[in-house]
Amino acid sequence: MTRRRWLLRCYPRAWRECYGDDVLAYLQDTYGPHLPVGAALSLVGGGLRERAHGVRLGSSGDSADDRLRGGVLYVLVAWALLVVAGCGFAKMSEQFDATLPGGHAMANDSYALVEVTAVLGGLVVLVGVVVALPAFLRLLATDGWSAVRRHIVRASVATTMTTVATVGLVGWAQHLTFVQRNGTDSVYAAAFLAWVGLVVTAIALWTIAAVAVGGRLTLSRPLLLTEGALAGVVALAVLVITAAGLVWMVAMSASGSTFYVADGPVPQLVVIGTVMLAVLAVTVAGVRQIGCAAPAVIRALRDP
Amino acid sequence: MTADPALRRASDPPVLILTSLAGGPKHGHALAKDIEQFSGVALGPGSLYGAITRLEERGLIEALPSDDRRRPYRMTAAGSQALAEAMADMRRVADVGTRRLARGTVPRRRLA
Repeated sequence: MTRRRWLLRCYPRAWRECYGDDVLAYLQDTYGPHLPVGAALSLVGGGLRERAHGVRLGSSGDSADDRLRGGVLYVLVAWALLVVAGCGFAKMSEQFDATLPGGHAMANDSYALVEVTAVLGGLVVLVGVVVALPAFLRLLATDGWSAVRRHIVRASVATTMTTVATVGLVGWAQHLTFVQRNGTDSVYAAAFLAWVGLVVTAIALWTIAAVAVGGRLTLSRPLLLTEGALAGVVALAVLVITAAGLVWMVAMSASGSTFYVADGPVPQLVVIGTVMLAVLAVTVAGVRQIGCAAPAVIRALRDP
Repeated sequence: MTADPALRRASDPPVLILTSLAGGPKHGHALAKDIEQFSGVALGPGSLYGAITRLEERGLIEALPSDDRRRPYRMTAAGSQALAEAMADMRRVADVGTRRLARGTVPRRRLA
């Protein structure tokens, strides 16, 4: 029974209070003392879908408008994850060209493509934010602030802490040599890792705040479709960045660069690769949801 | 076509649940058993209660008071209307398919 209650924790608390006892009785009636793995997985999936529904990421029973909005928010989450992976990539590839034996066009070009696409993708995300801004102001003007205040305050506190830590770290780094900054000073390395944790926390909290706000905005169908189209462009940018990043890694390997030897970036590559897999999975989920919901939203727009 | 996208296909969990509740109120276990009996679809607990939650949210079903931990559910008038519309849509498609098959424009597989 403890395992079943633990599985129910996949669901939001409010849902458990309403349906929890009923589900436990159902599981007992249907499966007896031994819960099959398939049923346990079904509960985990159902719980995650319910949580996604709670923040209006959209699920199969929702309206097409909500599913489209959910798809856009998935892409936004993917972009936030990409920013985390991108920070790691930028740090790992710092001064990579110095390790190249000579001019190597493919490595340089693919790296430039990653940078340019990241900037363009960031601009498209900003356009999406600007498009939603009037709806956000309307939300604040009504009673929406109380619902999102907690998220925004937490993210602001994390950002303030990150800013203070950044100033301190930059001041410290100026008194260290390049070699000390890159591993030989263990105290600095520990402080740097703590700073990375703060940056990731701040990005995560702002993403949660953005999803909480985005799920509550009242957007017209034309605006929803605009956001869907922008999300499609961002998804394309994610794909280009992933492909160009892979090309860069292969080109670096083929160039005879000393980049992959010495201390080696393999642990960072594993972390960045794992985050990138998550980015791709969330992007595909978002694009799929947008693609399935958009035709119904367009139909509803033409024939209200 | 019906305005409700969750009630398009006969195998959609909301359609199966409403169809089952059209025969009278039931709790979760009885619902799942009945659905498996008439449709052959075995809904997992996640799918079953996900669909129950959405249907209750939209006022298509409601929970009845119970002293037990088991909550019986029944279809509301709105649920009855939504199911009728979904059935009419499915019947229209089924009728077209049946008529076209009867006309014999599609070659049928010859039985051995």
